[in-house]
Amino acid sequence: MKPNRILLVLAFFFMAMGIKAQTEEKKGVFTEEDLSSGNYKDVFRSFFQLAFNQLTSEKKEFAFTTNPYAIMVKLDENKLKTEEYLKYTWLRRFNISFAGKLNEANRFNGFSSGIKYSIINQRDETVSRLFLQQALNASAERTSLNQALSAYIQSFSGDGASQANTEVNSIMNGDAKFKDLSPALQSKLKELAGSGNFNNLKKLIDKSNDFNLKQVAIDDYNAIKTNFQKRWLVTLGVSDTTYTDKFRFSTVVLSAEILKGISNPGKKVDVELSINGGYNFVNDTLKAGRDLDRRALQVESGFNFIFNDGAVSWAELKVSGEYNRVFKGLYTDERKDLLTINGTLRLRLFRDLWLPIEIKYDPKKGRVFGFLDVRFNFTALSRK
Amino acid sequence: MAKAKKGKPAPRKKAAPTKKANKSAITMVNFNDTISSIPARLTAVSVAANVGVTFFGGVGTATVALFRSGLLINMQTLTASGSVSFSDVAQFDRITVDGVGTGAGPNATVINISVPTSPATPTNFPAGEFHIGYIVI
Repeated sequence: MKPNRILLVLAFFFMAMGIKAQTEEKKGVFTEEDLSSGNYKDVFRSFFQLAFNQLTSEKKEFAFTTNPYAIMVKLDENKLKTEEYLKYTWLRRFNISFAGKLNEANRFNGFSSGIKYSIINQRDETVSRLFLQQALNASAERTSLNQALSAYIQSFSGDGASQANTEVNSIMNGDAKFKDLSPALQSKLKELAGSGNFNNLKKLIDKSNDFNLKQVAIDDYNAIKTNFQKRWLVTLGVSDTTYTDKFRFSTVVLSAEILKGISNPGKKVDVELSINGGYNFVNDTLKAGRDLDRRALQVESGFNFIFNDGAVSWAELKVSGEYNRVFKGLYTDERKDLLTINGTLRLRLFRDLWLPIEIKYDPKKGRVFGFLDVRFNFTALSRK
Repeated sequence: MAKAKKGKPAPRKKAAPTKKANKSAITMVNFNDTISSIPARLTAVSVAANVGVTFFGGVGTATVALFRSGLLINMQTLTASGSVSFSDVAQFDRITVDGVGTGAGPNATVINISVPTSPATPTNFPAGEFHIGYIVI
């Protein structure tokens, strides 16, 4: 089997594994997979991503990105225990990627690999004490309510206490709505709501008797989490491409990327500032032999507009300006400076499957060129 | 002394409970035959209990409180995976566990109590806040 076909089969195998791992679930706490923008996932991956890049161009590529910790978890889920999880925070800041390149005839055209490190990642709420404190503050009234209901529960004797406790757990855990509760518990909750210590509960009861206390808790948690996804992310990386016939670098790129959400939470359209840049060392084909003498800078800056349905984005439009400058090894008829206006439309086909369509416009020559990619993100964890 | 004489027949009277004891022993055997189908219950005496809270895939915090007859007896907070010890837990006490686990997957928070409770433990929660009460049985 030809190398590109082997890679294609592997790609579909990984994709099938990811799809199988997905199960239908009721509306619950959104995960990082739900809340992160597609642009964010392209900048930094916390688990796995499979990408088919530039499908319509002459230089196709399919890439696999992960981080070392994700692989460790796949092998041993005990690494998810808090102590282990915190111990490997530095390892989760790494992204490693491998890609196979194909030429216009769909033949193998070299490998590329890369490593990236997030020097600032304020978006990882799983290690953030600030996030934890915000979530605790939001849950404080429900904690007090659960504790205050102990007196009600223990006013029953024998098995009556267990039954009352089961009913209290059912409202706290969302198995029952307020209207489904016994008159005695409803009466007690109304009494507590009127005491002045449970203002949020009072608002809920005054509004409707059809509320689900757990869903309120989930909404509060998701709101804090969504807001957290707007914080800073800064990465530095280096990537390379090898020749087809020999393991030697034909390109080395030093890169940096910055992401920061800039819109207020709760908007239908979120806005994210996105800046990336790279300094390229490329083989100068005008010279004999193989070298890295051609030097070029590429900087792109723009805004990513994220269209939300609730807290989850379904489409994104990134509008940016890109500046390219060749410092060394300029080819004949090549411009030293090139400015393009870029637009990238990302459509979320399924929960984990993104379809980015990239359009570049060169205002000087009035030329338009585009790329079609497919990005599939998947985690190491079951969502049962 | 007179009282002592009068008290002599008493041991004979005490023999009666011996017969009753046999009857109650039979009752106990029957009770033990059926008890296997219901959860074990704590004896009337107080015992020590450990409440373990484990967080997976992220940080978390939990407040564990012990209530007896509606009154707060003891309350402790865990800021990482660990356990809280209560030296004096009796039947029908209520243990509440409230907090937040930030991890991923269905077992972001797992609660385990060392004495029989209703509901039984371990109990697991996905990421987010959790609020639950256990009655010691």
